[in-house]
Amino acid sequence: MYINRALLLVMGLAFIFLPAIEQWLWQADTGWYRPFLLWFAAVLAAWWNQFRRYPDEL
Amino acid sequence: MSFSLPEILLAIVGYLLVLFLVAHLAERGILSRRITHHPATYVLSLAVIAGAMASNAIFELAYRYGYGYLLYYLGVVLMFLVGTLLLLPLLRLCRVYQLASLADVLTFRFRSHRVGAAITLAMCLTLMPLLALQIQAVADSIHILAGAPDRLMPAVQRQDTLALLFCIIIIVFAILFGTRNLTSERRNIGLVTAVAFESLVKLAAMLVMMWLAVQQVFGGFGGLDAWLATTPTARAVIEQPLHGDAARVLLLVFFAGAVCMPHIFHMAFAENKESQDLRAASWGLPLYLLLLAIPVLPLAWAGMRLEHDLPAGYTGLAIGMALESPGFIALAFVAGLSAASTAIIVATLALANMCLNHLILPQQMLAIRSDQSLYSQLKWLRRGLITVLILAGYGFFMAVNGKQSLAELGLVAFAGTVQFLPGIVATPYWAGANRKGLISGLVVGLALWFLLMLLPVMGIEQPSWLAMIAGRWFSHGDNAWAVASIMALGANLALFIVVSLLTTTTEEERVAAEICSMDLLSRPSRRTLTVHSAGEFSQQLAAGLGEATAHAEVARALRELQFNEDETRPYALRRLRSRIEANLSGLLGPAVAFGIVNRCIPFANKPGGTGGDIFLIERRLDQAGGQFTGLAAELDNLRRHYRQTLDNLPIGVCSLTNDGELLLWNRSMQRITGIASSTVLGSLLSSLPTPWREIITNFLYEDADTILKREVTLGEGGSRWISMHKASAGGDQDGDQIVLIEDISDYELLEQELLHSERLASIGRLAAGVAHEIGNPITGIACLAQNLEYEEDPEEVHETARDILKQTERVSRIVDSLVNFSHAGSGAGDVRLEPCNLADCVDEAIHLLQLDRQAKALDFENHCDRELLVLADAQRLLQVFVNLLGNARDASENGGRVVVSASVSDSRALIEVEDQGCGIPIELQNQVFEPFFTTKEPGEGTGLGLALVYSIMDDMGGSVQIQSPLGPPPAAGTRICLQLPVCQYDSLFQV
Repeated sequence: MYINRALLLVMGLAFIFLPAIEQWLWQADTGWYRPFLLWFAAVLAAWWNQFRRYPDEL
Repeated sequence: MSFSLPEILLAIVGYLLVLFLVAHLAERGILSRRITHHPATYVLSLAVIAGAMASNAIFELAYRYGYGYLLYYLGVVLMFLVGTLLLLPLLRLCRVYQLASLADVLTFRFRSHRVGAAITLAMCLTLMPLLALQIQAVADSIHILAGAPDRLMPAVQRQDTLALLFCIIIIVFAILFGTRNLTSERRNIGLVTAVAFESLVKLAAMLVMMWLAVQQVFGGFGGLDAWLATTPTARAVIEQPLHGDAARVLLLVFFAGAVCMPHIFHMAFAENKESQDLRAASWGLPLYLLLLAIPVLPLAWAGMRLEHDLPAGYTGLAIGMALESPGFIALAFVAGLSAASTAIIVATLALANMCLNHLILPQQMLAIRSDQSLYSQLKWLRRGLITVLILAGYGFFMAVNGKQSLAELGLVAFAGTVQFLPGIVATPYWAGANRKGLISGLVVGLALWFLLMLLPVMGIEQPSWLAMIAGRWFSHGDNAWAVASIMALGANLALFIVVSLLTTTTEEERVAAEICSMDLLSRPSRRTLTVHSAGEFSQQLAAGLGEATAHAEVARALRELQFNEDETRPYALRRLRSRIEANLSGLLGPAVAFGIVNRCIPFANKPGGTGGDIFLIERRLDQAGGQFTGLAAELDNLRRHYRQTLDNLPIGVCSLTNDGELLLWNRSMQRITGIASSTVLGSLLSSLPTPWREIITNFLYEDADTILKREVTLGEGGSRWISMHKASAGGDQDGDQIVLIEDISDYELLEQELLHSERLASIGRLAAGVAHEIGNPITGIACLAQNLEYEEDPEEVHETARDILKQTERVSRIVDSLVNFSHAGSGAGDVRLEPCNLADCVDEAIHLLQLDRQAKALDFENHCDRELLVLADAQRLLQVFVNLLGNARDASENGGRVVVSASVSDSRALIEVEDQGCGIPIELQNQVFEPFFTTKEPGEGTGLGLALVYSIMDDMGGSVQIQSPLGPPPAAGTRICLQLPVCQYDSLFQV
């Protein structure tokens, strides 16, 4: 139905790699902007996901 | 550093005037359409969610939760990243049914105006802290900018007066912005563009403030890193753990807020109907919020380093004052002002619409007067509601009286709106949910939110029993609100599920749930309406909307659907009704629209006519294009394949419902009838042009399922011949009917040509006999003429002349017979039925056959009544007898006997042609009427004789049958039985 298969895959992968991502984010000597890099990566993924879609699927 | 009050007020009015100018330029089309309709404008307008929470309260969250402040943005980001889960289904619903608010959606889903009223009241209540937050952010900012409290008047009084002044200015602008465009027919371009502009201003201000603060406070980003490394208290801000109960609740609350908050809902769905814009927002809004979130930490750290004593929510202003930079202060003030003002304007506009559609209109508090347009009344009502709502926000702000921080107010508001999340999620995903469950869950959830969160915010003591219970969980300090939020939501959800499962769901709710959960939203059903034309719609709706509004709404729906005003097709009228209901839903809310349309344009309670609207379903599947995947795509391909096959069949196919609505009209049907499918599909059979209306209608009422040949007169186009077949689509007599029509004109013309050829062939076969027959009288005439030369006796001359004349008459009669025979039926399709003497016709045929001297000598006997007249074409009937008697002669032995007799029964002449020939085997009797079927030796027969007999008899309304053998072989004999209508010369008849 409305469930997007790519979205399910991304959510599954995010769940699996959450501990590793958290560890990477909160390393002691990390830059304060590191969470924003991850956020930006999510924006790029969302852009790529919508870019390859049909123009109007309503 | 301080500013005078007039300077501050001037700045506020000046900024709002700039916003209004932007809106005005956009509405007038002076701003390019490429800008106003660009997806980026829509994305930026969604940033209305980042009100004073994002410009002021976010600093408090950053101090309190460290990186946890990001959850405010991430909740929204998550909602848009996974937009296909909730936003797209909601957008579909809102677009198809013109729903403009959360209350509209839930009213539509749960089919109750009480649900709409409850949601609206609850929404007004939960939004009060948010409105108070915006007012407090601006009022406190003015207070700070104006300098010390004792410079003008007592602090509280001055602050309140300024807040009221700010509210009045906002009321004026909200009315100017929002009540121009009443219908959701088109976007409120001005509002959308102004909010987008505001978002840009806010972002630019935050980024410039970050740059200036980092440069001037830390000497650059390197200095910031160095300061962070040496300042553990600042480092602690980002080292606080994100995980934990509070973080999860924060994320959930802000996630829900992204769709439950009325101003965001309004911008996301009411001001946008395009899914591609929502798709752009799925990455555009997260990107915008990312850029907006980045400056928060550097600014918070700059504030920490400057050690200001203002509340954390005013960090921007504090930095500007510490740096004594008027530009910085202006940026901080404008960022806060723009965020707060647009949040108030859009939120109150959305709430005003909800109040109007769900509290006022369903109570019939609006009287439709013919002298005043409905639109005008709605506009004034909306203006009044906007004023009341902003003043109510001001009242709440007064009640809180600055006792709570901005972040507290924001969190309470978001925790209140999260109570609507179960209903929203259930809309597309849980068909079993019902209104009783929704209301009971909402009542309990909001009651807990009110007691545990709102009362404390207002400084009112909780009831002792509640304080005792809550004290058990509320020892978590800062996380107390998180526990309260989750308790309220948990109780709400549990009751919603339990009550929905234990109580019955109405049929209406079930249908609405099905609609909300389907991929394609509308369930096209083929119900019969009581009105039969678009014109009647205006008359009927006038009772509910007033004459002028009814006419305007019908005209608008017709224009949107691209239908004519004289539209009468049932399919088109059903679509018109749905469109009017959807448009009225945008204007008056779904509950009122549903009521008015049901009352004014009801469906007829007819049996039948309630199945699926096949034509509309097909249309929608075609429009869906290539978006299907997997099995759905395969099924769609199969559907297209069969549709293509049906369309390209060389036989005309049309399908009708039992109430006469045309569902299918393929290309061959268009070619045969000359009627385009687009003009007849969805219309009634009775609206077909003549003669096809009569032809198909009569055929449907006939008992026979097949008509092999029927002539159709097409005005100037001449005549055509068709064959027709019919069948029930579902094998059920009351179900849809399928009618097949085949154009057999070419076949008919060919048959006539063959008839003529056969006739000429007969003449050829008779030629020798004719020559002999004519030769004898010519020889006689020659002898008589020779004698006449020498004859002198006048009496003898007379006698000879009479003999010559007799011989000449004989020749003439032979020649006339041949000419008649050769010309018979040569005019294509020219059947002239007239009284015809049967015995004379048989005599003529026998005479013609006897001209063939080389043929077998047979005894032809004509026993027909000399007075018997039949209704027939004499020349064609002659052809029938020539063929039948010729066959009888070929089948008989020399000296055989062929008898033609006739009798009358029930006004029909029964004519029998009986021979004593070899007979026709029973197994061949079904084939002898087929063209080119013959049992004769090659070269002796064309196989067309009996086929032509059948064809001619059918043309003349007669019939032909074979009885054979009549006795034992070898002279088994055959009897051909013909039937024709009996006639008299003086009788009236029609062809």
